[in-house]
Amino acid sequence: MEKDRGEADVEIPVGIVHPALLEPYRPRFFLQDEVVTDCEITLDAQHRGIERMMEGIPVDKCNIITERICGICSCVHLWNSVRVVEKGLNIEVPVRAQYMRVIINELERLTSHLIFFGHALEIIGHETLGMRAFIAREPFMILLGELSGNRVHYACPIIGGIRPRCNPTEEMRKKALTMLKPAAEYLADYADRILKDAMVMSRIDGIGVLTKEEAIKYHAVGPTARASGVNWDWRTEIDDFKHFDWDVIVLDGGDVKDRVVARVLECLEILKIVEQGFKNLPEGEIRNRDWKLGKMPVTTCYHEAPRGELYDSYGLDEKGNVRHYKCRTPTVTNLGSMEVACLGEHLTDAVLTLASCDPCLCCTNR
Amino acid sequence: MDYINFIISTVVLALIALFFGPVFLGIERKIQARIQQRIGPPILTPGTWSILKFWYKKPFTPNSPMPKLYHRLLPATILAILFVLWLTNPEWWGILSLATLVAIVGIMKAEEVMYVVMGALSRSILSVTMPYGDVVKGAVTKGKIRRFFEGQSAVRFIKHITIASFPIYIGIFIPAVMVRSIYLEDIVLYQGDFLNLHPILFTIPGFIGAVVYFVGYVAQLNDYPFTIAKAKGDLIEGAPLEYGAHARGNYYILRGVWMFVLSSLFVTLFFGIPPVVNFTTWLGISQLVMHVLLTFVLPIIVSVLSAFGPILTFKQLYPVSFGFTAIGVFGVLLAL
Repeated sequence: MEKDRGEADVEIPVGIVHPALLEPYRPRFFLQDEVVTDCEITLDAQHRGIERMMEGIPVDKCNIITERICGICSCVHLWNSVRVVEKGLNIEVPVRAQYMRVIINELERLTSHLIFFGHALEIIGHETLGMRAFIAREPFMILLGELSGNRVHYACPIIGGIRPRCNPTEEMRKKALTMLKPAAEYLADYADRILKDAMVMSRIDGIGVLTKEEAIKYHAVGPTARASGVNWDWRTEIDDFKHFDWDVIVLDGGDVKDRVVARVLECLEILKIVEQGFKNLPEGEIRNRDWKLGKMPVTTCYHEAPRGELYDSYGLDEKGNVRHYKCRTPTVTNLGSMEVACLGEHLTDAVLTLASCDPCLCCTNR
Repeated sequence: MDYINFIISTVVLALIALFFGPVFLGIERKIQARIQQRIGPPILTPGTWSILKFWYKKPFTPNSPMPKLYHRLLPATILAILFVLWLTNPEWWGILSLATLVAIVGIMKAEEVMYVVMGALSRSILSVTMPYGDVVKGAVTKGKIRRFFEGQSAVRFIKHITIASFPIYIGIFIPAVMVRSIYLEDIVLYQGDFLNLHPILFTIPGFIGAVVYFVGYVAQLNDYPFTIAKAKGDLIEGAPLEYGAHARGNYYILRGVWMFVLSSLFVTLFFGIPPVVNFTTWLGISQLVMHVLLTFVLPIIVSVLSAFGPILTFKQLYPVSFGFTAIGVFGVLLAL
């Protein structure tokens, strides 16, 4: 049953500059006393025009720029953009490259979820656990730096494979497995600490409920939708992930707690994938050079970014230049669904509810 | 009445509060930083040096309908809360019979109301006046009164005063019930002299009172987890948001002094050691030193609690406050 948008006494406009909003957007909360009866969010306060920038440039340059759409989920933007060409021109990717793409992408997803824990706990006022999220995150950032040569923009996928510097030596592979173990133990302890903290649970349990029907209606995606019972993850549709044994995490509560728990459990699945990746990393080529750029019709690709569904589409002209580039990131629909989820909550909880979809305005306002 | 001693006591106590209050702010930050596995700032930086720094910043006029009053609330409140400290000093006990718990509670209420006034007087540029074209561009809801963060903070402070203050007042009155007197002099004398102390804290009702007082102490300081009236997640900082430059320095002083004064009141009521200023004997000096040392206890415990507590919204605040009030009432019954 859909929530009513009731009468309001006052309006509290929040943002576009506000400590709870890591990036600029404008939620307007309509309140009766402390209770939110309506919410309206305006985006695009920092539009950068990246899609326009892509028009007519060589596809390699385009891919480099797609990585700059976001600093948290840079790999998935680049990977999905590369997949568009690979799909449009039927380019095969060597298995070793597929493994490394998955490993880098999943480590990135893990660090993204840990930022979410830090942010959410900061908003509920638990600074200690918020800061420990970043302590838990640091070993994975170091690992990403060691694997790719960079902590943020890994520049791993290229058309037909991966960049040579992201191809680990045997020594590096063993080192990565060694680094992974203590980091995973700390992460498991940390997750356990969050989930057993009665005060934290009292702040997030039963808050900001998004039902399955609402999640489908407003097209919530990613962990936000899966926490509301929507069983969908684009990774199940991507061949590169078929080498790995992992589960899609689906919960049915739909509240802030479930959105946190879904990400916690997803972190454990990510660790499974990464460990399998390093253990079973096959030998072989990392790049297929047997292809030629040319005219390509507009092709569409979907991927599962840390926050949910990522859409990229473009075509190529005869010279291999990009035409009609389009990108849609998960936060647009996730924030839209949070407008509904926060109804009936107190203002403080409503801000938390918005944050619980892990909005990334850098991607959204690309 | 010895006017010289009276003046010396008054000035010395004010200086002690003004010095140690900001130090408490630093201790709080340092302990929290250590819990958060950070080095944290030097102890004098968040309070003492920050205040000096803010005093020498370019003056900042807040976006308030009455900026002068908004600024002057701070020194007025600092002066008011210093009276709580002064009234616990034996030199003040004879003045107009003011040294009673009723007078102290009255001053504490005035301090709380100051925050409501603060909230009502501030108009931060970070909320309603933040220029953004979201109303004219096809907004669904138009024409509602737009409230500043500080206005919402003032509304929350009213609720906070009503509900969250119960524990500290119950805690304050438990010693009075045990002694059967609201006069501070009687409460202190009941616990014996400095060399032969029988603190109320070490009795069952006294211990309950101390626990309840501590919870109220955190609520009075609007510290985590009782910081809903100035929750960073939505109201940024609430009522004091627009204090900048020298006024921000004064706000830090207010916060630090209030922390010291409430701790000092705790030591007087529950340890039976009032802030006596007597530099002529070693006993007098020892008593003052002991008093100051014991004032560190509550801020240290608060720092640990704050580091591990999320902000409680009113949904949690009401039951917590009523729960501790009920415990306090049980303490009162035991004291009877």
